[in-house]
Amino acid sequence: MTNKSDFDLDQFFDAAQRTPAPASDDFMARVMADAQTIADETNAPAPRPKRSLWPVILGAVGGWAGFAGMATAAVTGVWIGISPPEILDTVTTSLTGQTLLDSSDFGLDFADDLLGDEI
Amino acid sequence: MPFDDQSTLTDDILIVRFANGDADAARVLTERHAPRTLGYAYRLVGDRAEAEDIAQDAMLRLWKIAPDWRPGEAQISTWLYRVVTNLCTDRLRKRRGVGLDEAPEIEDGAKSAEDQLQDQARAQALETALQQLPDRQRQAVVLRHIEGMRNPEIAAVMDLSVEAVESLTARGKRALAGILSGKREELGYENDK
Repeated sequence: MTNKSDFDLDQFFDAAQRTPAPASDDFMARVMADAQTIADETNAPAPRPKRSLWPVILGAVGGWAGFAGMATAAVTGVWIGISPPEILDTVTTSLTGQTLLDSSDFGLDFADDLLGDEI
Repeated sequence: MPFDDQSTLTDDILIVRFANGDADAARVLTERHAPRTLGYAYRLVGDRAEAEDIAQDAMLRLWKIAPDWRPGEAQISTWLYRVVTNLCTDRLRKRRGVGLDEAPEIEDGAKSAEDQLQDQARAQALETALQQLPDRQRQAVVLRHIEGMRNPEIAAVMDLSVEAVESLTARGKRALAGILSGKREELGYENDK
């Protein structure tokens, strides 16, 4: 009787090497399909990031600081146009011989208290 | 070499090409590695469909890791053996959790021997015997004696020392000899010598 340790396993290992589990066409196709999917993702163009109009405007006027300055100037201009200080009237009269027009001259009747200007 | 013939290129070049979107490089890598990956998975789990799932999963992981692959650091074949080893270990653990009755049946070696050629019968008997070994012994024996890897490579795949690999292989072979020696006659083994 052959001892277990003398048993020739090599014949079994050789047989296993000579009879590999065959890879079916279906299996190979599935592996390739996975690869194609990954390759397609790699080749897909990267989506263009959406650009808002705000950064463009802010960039043109010098950022938030520039925008705040512009807004302040605009508000101040409107304020002066509606309710000019006395000194402007004096300067305008001396330069042009005419007084400043009031909003009431254009048929506009702002409530002065809304503008913070008590009569 | 024709312009589009990539079959002679190394794995490292092919994986870089694939990472850059070349699907044809994947075709060569698939032909080169998928059958062996499947064969190894089959010998570890003993179930054809499950082995295909595992091998496909291992290959998918290769495609996904391609952009981060560092050429020269590891061989793709060794990396795949390692992934398959881990996936099979997970599957076998889960399988044991569902009870023996639900585990797939391993075809009996003696029955195969009646209808198939002697080689196939022996391979089947070996497969059946391998399924009776503890997982780590089976992995070490398959890598060493069927996949033909050297002990340091096996140690890298299994994350063990070379001494531990030698010990696992020796114990696995002793156990296999014990199982297969009882089937000598039905496998026609004695007729060879």
